[in-house]
Amino acid sequence: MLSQFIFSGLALGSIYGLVALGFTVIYKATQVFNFAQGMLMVCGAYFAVTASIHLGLPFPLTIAFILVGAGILGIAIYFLLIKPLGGQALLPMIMITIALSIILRAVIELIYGGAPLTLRLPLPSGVFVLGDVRISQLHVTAAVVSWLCMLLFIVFFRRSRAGLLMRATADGYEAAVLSGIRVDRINAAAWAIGTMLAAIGGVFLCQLQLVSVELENIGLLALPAVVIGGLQSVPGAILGGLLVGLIEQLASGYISPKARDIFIYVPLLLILFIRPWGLFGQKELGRV
Amino acid sequence: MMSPCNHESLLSVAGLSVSYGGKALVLSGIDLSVGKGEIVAILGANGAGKTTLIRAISGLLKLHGGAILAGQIKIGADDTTRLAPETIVRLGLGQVPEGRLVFKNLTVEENLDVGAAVLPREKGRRTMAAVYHLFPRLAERRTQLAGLMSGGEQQMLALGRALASSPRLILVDELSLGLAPLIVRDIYAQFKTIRSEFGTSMLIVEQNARLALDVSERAYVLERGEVVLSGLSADVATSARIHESYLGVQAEASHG
Repeated sequence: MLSQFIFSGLALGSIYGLVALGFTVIYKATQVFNFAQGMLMVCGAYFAVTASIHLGLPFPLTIAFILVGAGILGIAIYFLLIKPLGGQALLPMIMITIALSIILRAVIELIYGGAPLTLRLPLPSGVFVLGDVRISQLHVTAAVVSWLCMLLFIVFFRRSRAGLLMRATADGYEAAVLSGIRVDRINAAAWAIGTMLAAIGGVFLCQLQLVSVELENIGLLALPAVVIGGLQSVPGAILGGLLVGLIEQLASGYISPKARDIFIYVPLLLILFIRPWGLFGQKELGRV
Repeated sequence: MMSPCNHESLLSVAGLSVSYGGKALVLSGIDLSVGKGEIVAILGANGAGKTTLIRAISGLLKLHGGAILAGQIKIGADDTTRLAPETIVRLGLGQVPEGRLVFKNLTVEENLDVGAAVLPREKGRRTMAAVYHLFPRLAERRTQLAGLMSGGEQQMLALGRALASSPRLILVDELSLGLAPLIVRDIYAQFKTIRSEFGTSMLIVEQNARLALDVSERAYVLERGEVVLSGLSADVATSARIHESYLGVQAEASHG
C-alpha cells in the first residue's frame, strides 16, 4: 500500500510541482500572488478540448496549440491587467487575480457549457504491475513530462541570457531598468511561461480526470506547494509540489480523502509560523 | 581642461522644470551640459533637487510620481525627455544609482553580464574584460553573490555594471554615501582612467563637495531646485558661496 501511495503521490506531485513552478515564475517576475493559477491550468485543459475535438487537430499540433494558446493568454493577462494596474499593493493585485479566475471560469462555462467533458488524448494509458505497485503509464508519462519541463525551465533560467535578465528583474526592478533591461518584455515572458507550465499540468490532470472547471481546486494546490516550498524559490516550488502530492495520497489513502486538506494546510500554517520564507526560500540578503 | 562652452555636448538639459504630483516645482529652469570627455559635478545639500535631476535625466521620474513640466533633455542628438529608462540606457547613458542597487542574488559576473546585455555578445565580452582589468577585485570575486560583498565592492560592481554597457556618459549618484573614505578615494582615483580607457564622460552627483571638485572639470551648485553657481571646478571651489554651504568653512573666513 505504502509504495502505491508514494508512487501516485510523486506522480501527481510532479504535476503540482509544474503548476507551482509556473506560479513562482510569475511571482518572482511581477510579485503577483496569482490566485488564477488554478484556472490557468484549467484553460490548458480546454485548449486541448478545442484543438483536439473542435478543430480536430492531430496530437502534435494539439500540443503546439495548447502551448501557443497558453503563451498568448499569459502575455495578454500581463499587458491588459497586470501592467496597467501594476505597482499596486499586494492586496489589490490579489483581488485582480481572483477576479480574473472568476471571469475565466465564466467564459469557459459560456463557451463549453458547465458539464464535464471527456477528452482522450493519445497518451499511454495502460497499467503494469511492479512488485505490489500498479504503475499507471499515464502517471509515469505525466511525471516524466513534468520533470522534463521543469528541467528545461531551470536550464533556461540558469543558463540563457533571457533567463539571466529574468533573474535580474526579479532581484530588483529599479536596478533592472537602470541596466537597460526591457522589463515589460521580461515580465510578459514570465507570464507566458507561467501560464504554459500551468496549461501542461492541466492537460495531464484532465486525462486523469474529466475536463471540468472544477479542476481548478486541484490546480490551487499549487498555492500551499509554493508557500511550503518558499515563494521565491524555484526548487522550492517543485519540491513543495511533490510534498503536497505525497501528503495528499498518503492522507487520502490511510485516513480519508476528507483528511487531505488538513494534512496539507496544517503544515502550511506551521511553515508560516516557523519559517515564513518557506522550506527552500531564503531570507533576503541584507543591504550592506 | 575642457571649456565650459564645449560645443560638442553629450548631455544637454535646457529649461528643465519638475514637480511631484503637480505640487510646487522641485526643479525650475535648470540648464546644464556635459561635453564629450568631460567630468562634471553636481553639488548641493539634501533637498536641493539633486536626486530629482538625476531621476529626470535617467527617466525614473514617473516611477517616483514626478513629471517634467517644461524643458528638454538631450543625449547626443537624441531627445530623451520622457523616454523610458531602459531606452535611455540603450542610447548610451550608464547608471550608477544611489544605494548601488546591484543584483544581490546574482554573482559578480552575472551582474556584469546584465550590464553588457545591451551590447552585441562579442563587444559585451570585450567591455567586461576591460572592467575586470580596471577592478581586479571584481575579477577575484567573479563567482561570489553580489549581496555578500562589502559596500565598497558593491559600489565597484555598480560602476563596473554601468561601464559594461559601454556607455557614452555615466551618471554617478552619491557614490560616497555610507562608504568608508578610503574605499571612496580608491574608486574616485579610477575616474580619470575610466575616461581615458572607456572614453566615457561622467556626471557626478555628490554631497562630498571636496571629492567631487577634485575629480571634475566643471561643477554646478544646486540650491532649492535652481542652479545658483556654475563654472570651472577650481573656481567653484574657491567661491565664497560654496565655502559657506558645502566645504564647512566659516562665513567670516571668506568675508575676511
